[in-house]
Amino acid sequence: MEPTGSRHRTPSKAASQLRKGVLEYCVLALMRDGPRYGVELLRELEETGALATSQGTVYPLLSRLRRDELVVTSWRESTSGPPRRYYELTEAGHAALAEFTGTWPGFRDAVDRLLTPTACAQPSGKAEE
Amino acid sequence: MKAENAGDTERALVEQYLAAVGREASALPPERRQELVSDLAEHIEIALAERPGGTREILSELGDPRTIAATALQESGVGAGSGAAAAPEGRAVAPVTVEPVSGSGRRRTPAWVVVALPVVAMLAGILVGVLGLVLRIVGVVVLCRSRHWDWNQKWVGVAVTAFLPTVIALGYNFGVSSSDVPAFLPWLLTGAMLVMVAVGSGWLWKVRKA
Repeated sequence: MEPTGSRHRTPSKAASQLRKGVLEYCVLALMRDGPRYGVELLRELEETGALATSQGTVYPLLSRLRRDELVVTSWRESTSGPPRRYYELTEAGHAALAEFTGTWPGFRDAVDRLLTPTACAQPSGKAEE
Repeated sequence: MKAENAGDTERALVEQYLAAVGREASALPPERRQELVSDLAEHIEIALAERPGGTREILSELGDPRTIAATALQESGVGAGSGAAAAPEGRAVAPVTVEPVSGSGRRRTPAWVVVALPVVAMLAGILVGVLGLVLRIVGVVVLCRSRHWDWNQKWVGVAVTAFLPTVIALGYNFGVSSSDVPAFLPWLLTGAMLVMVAVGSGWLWKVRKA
């Protein structure tokens, strides 16, 4: 019964900036293979390590995805406990995810090239610190 | 008896938490705030069904109410949040609007109905005045409830498609004695109002959010 607040480190500024742009597509990607309910979605997101913040902040995002009609929701009965609200990609959601999936590798590689120290990026006089 | 007390404490914790979210999110439009709180309440209920007795852990995973409210404010910021601003271009590739599947989420009137109503109200009003008035009121209500426009757009929409036509009609009916008016004036006014309503509706259609 102890509070378990220590589970969430405060994310660094870089992590939270990154998260802002990418989280939406991570959430869409989790729904690619079929409908998911909120608790399940957040658990998986947390397990991937892409969340970098508390679970509750995903609900405003889900709400916007719903408003933008990238996802739709429907209630389903469960064998245990209350009915779950399932989130499902719409055609527009699939299209947005596909577009991001196409853009991401090039972007990632470009950033990698900038970040990775290579022989030509660091010429001979580098030991001057 | 003890177990019951523990249950009460856990329920109180949840209520406190949700109240805190509601308080922190007070800058959100009421509809958004309610949605946020009920989404979280739903999450807690289901998480508890899967993990009985885990209230504290579940709330701690959800995180600080202030952070959640701040995120919600960013997400609903019109044009301010990066996501909201970037969305229209991102969605340009998507095939035309997808109608919300019936029975999913909360029911809302589709944008085309909201936009068509003022025009229908105007035309109906020419035939049966009362019908026009009723439709116009319905139009204002569905416009205000719609998610397709922000509040500034809603105010303009209400003014142009409902308020001004009503004022003009009332002004004409009560302000002018019919004797000293040329015969074409009522038709001219009706035509002008129709154009105004049509332009207002067209504008609403153009600026609507998907």
